[in-house]
Amino acid sequence: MRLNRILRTAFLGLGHNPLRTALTLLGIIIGVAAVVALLGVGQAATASVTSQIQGLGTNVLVISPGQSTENGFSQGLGSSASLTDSDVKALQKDNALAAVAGDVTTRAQVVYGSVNYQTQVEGTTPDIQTIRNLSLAAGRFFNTVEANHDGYVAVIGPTAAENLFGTQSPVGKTIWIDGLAFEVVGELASEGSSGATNNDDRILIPLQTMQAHLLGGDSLTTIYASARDSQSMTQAQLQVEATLRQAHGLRFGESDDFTVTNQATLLSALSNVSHTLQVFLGGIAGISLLVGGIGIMNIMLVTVSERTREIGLRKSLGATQGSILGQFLTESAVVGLLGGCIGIVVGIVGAQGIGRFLQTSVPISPSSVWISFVVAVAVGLVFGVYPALRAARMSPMNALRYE
Amino acid sequence: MAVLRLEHVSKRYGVGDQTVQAVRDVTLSIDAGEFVAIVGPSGSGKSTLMHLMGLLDVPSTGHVLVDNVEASSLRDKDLARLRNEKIGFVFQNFNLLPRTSAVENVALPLFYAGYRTQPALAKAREALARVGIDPHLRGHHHPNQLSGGQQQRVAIARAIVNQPRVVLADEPTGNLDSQATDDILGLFASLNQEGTTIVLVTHEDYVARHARRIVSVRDGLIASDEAVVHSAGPQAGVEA
Repeated sequence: MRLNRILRTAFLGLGHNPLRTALTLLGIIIGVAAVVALLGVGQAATASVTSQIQGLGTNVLVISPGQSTENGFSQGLGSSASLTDSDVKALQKDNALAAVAGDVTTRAQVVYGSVNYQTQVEGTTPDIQTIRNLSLAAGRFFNTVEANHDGYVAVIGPTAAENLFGTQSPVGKTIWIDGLAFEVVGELASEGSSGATNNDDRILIPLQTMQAHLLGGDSLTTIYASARDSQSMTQAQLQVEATLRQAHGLRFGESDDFTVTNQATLLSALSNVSHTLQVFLGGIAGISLLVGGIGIMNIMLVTVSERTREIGLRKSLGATQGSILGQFLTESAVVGLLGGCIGIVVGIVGAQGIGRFLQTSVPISPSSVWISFVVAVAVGLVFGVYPALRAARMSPMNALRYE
Repeated sequence: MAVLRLEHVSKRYGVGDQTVQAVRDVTLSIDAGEFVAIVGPSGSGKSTLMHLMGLLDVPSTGHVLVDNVEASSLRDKDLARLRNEKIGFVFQNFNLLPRTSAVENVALPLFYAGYRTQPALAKAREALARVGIDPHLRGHHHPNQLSGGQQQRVAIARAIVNQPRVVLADEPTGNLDSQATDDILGLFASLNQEGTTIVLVTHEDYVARHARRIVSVRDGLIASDEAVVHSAGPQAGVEA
């Protein structure tokens, strides 16, 4: 039988009971739409996590003070004051590192006019701007001269600015931090929050000013360093560890009193998580596609038994087992194909709907579209094989006599 | 020359734990141009005989030869081809595809033979015209728009469209009124006069008398096999 006749016969068979065909299609449509939309959502989640991590700055190593142990009890990360300005100086000699910035963070009361606001105050150096990839919405960052000569200048995050100044521009205003007057020279662009910390709710002031006049001492909360490029991250991390061990006079066998966090490791850990999420979502969608396939099989079995006499007749007129098989396989493949096409459209529309609801853009990757399309057709074929084989193998005489 | 030969053919069915011997060691030969009626009461094995001749069923023992081709050793593909090219079937309940036009129904065997659409439809129209259905007037009608007699004519057109060696008709008038019965029997007679070999299975003597040879079957055996003497042509039976 020629292909056009096979297709015509298949469509005739599908048109035989339109409601039933539509319901079978629905199963495949829902399955394919779920695959397309959920994979899109999974990718959107991955993209957003990745961009947040990259928003911390590229090639960044974060060095925190190590855990101190008192009476055998570990005191938690950052509990010892093991990082100091001298560590920063030692690290700055490392040519594996592009930039190093010491950082002290505290919470302080900030006053502007009659507004009283508690926020995070961070003492740091201008290098932090390149390391953490900070961009400014207004004004400028404090410069090296101000940083090294007791400058009373501050750069304010957008959330803190809004709370202190409302709609006014903060640049040029004077704020009071723990009784000391600082001039606001710049406002940071919004970074958004990552997890529990809001990077927008903070005020940056020169490290030296902070240590000398607000806190005292030379211990640091964090040291940020950036490697020259992403390839040298691991090497840079080893270098930092070696330098700090030497600076701290640690002997062989003694454990580090600091922790170096590599952004690449963080990124790969989180991408593992989001990969798992994608597999999970894809699995759920796959199950619904499977159920759709079982629906096809169910309906094809009913169709084959309803049309037993027709099968007998076709065999008596010269249909081979192959042409009967082809006829019913084409029917189920057409259901898979149509369901796949409609499902892709529904999935894309659904993904945009979810994206609008979550206020992110949900990307539809071409691979998820064509994979789910191929899978839909394959599902139609695979679940159509058994009913079609049953039809093909019928004895023509029994089929003709079937009541 | 024999177009159909059964040689020592037997057919047994298992029904539950009993075995039914539907056909017992039958040897029968049908020559080209014959018009044979196979008669017998229900359960006599005449339908089984017909299924064996039409290659719709395989014998338990013995040989079936269609156009001198031994069929019992053939695979499905070759059997299908023999059914397609050598045999035309006419059934009691017409067996036309619903929601399919008369022309397309008739063209079906041609499609299975690999014809392209247009040549197949053209041949189907010729066959329809031959059985007395105007292809331009009724060719596009669906079976449910046709009377019983017209439907059976369409089915006969389908049986002869491939110019088969033999037409096998199983109780072709069983569902028809007497007027349509006479029309259909007349059509068979005229097809036979043009050279088509016809085997007609029936339990009605009236129908059988239109044939030129009557094979009567009883308990799976051939009870008699004799030529019909037509004193006044086929229509003689109508007044009787």
